Amino acid sequence: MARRRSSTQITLVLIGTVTLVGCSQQSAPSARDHYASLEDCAADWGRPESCERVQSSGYPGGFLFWGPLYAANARNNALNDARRNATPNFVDPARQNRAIGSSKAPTSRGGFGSSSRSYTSGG
Amino acid sequence: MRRELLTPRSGWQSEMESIGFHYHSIDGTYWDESRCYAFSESEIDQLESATAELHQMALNAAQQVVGSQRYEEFAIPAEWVPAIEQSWNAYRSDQPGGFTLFGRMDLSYDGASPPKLLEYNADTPTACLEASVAQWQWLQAARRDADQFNSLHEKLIDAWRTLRAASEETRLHFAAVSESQEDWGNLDYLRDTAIQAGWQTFALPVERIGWNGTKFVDEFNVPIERLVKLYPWEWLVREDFGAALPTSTMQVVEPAWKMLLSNKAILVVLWELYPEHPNLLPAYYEPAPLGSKYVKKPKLAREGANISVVDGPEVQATDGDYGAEGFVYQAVAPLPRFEEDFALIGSWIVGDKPAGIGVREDVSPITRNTSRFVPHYFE
Repeated sequence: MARRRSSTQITLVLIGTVTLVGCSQQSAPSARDHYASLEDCAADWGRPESCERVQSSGYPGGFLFWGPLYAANARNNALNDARRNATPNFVDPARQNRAIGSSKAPTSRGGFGSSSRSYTSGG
Repeated sequence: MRRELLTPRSGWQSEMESIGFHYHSIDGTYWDESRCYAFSESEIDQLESATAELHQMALNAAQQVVGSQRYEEFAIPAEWVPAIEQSWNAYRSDQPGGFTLFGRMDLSYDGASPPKLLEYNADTPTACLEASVAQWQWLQAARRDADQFNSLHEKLIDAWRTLRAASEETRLHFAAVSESQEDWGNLDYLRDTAIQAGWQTFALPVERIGWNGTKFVDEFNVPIERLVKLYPWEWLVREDFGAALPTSTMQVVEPAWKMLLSNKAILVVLWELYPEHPNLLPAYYEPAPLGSKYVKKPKLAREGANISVVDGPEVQATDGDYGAEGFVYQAVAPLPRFEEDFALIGSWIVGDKPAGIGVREDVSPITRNTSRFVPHYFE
């Protein structure tokens, strides 16, 4: 029997469900806090599900934790909202900031993209 | 190889949009299922084996360029040589730093003579979503009992899976020019296959990549460990951030060594290494050996720009802004013509294996980004 050379099944998990640039553009500057432990992150943001473990060779154990994205000029509001959502009877927003850093460091942008002219980049 | 005329499926537009193919009618008619191409199994065998052999020969040509330091012929700046050689050596030793996902060869093939390599789009090949998902979906609806040379989808997932198993990193960042709908359609599809292979993925416009003095970062200042770009290397290296690329730890897909295969100068090296090979066309840096009939191509160009087909006093040319890096001159291999349309085969490599074909049609013998994509089947 001849070898079949077309895919027998094609499953898509992303496209068709997102708009073209839906996760590519944010209208306002955003930031994420970095934590040395899941416990610290969960304490700030109300629950561990809000935190994401990422590999990072510069930290003990080889990884750190990111809190959720928030508008860079509204961190306190974001913290309060997150804690309130995590704890329905939450009353006291004055908790210690356990973050070891945030992603708001000065960064230059626009150094790529100037050559695209009127062409698309594909061939 | 023959062309069949068909009645398009009713509602095919919404079918295409459901798979993320929103640019199906860009510039008028792009996806065209009012016709299809039918191949025999032996023709598909011929295309598959030629693609595999051409890819292997192209790798040997890259080794020849590296070994003989022929970078000047490729208009590659000297400061980029270490990055090319580092990624090439990584590829040769099967290290993640040399990882290549894919490429697409443009072939002239009429079903009778051997396929001829016109060029190798080895850096930023597009029409992948069309070749993989769109024409497969068409096959299920229009030629269910037939076969199609198209295993792109599972080969892409397998390639990402292989990289995932060999890498310490877990994240991939995907970038293209922000306003290009076609590029994002392709990139989102690649991202989809990466997710299915277990990668955590992010997307951003190439213009919003940041440099913090030590690392490239995304718009949230998260370091980019591996960038999957649909943006040509020759543009990256000449732009403001280009100088930081060789010293950064960011890995790039396609890797820097693909600058060799995607440059038309590789056609000259191939002809030197494999003269009279049945799948190659004579190619030189000057037109004289080809007489009065040849095709003039910029070493660096895209989408059929700045190409001249010369036949004695007659010249058929496309416009564009390319050519500053020089030209190559290639013998003519006329595309097969079906009534008033010329057909070109795009033959895909994923990893290092042939993975399928797509057919493009145009009333011009020079295929452009606006050329129509026509589905195929074989039996």
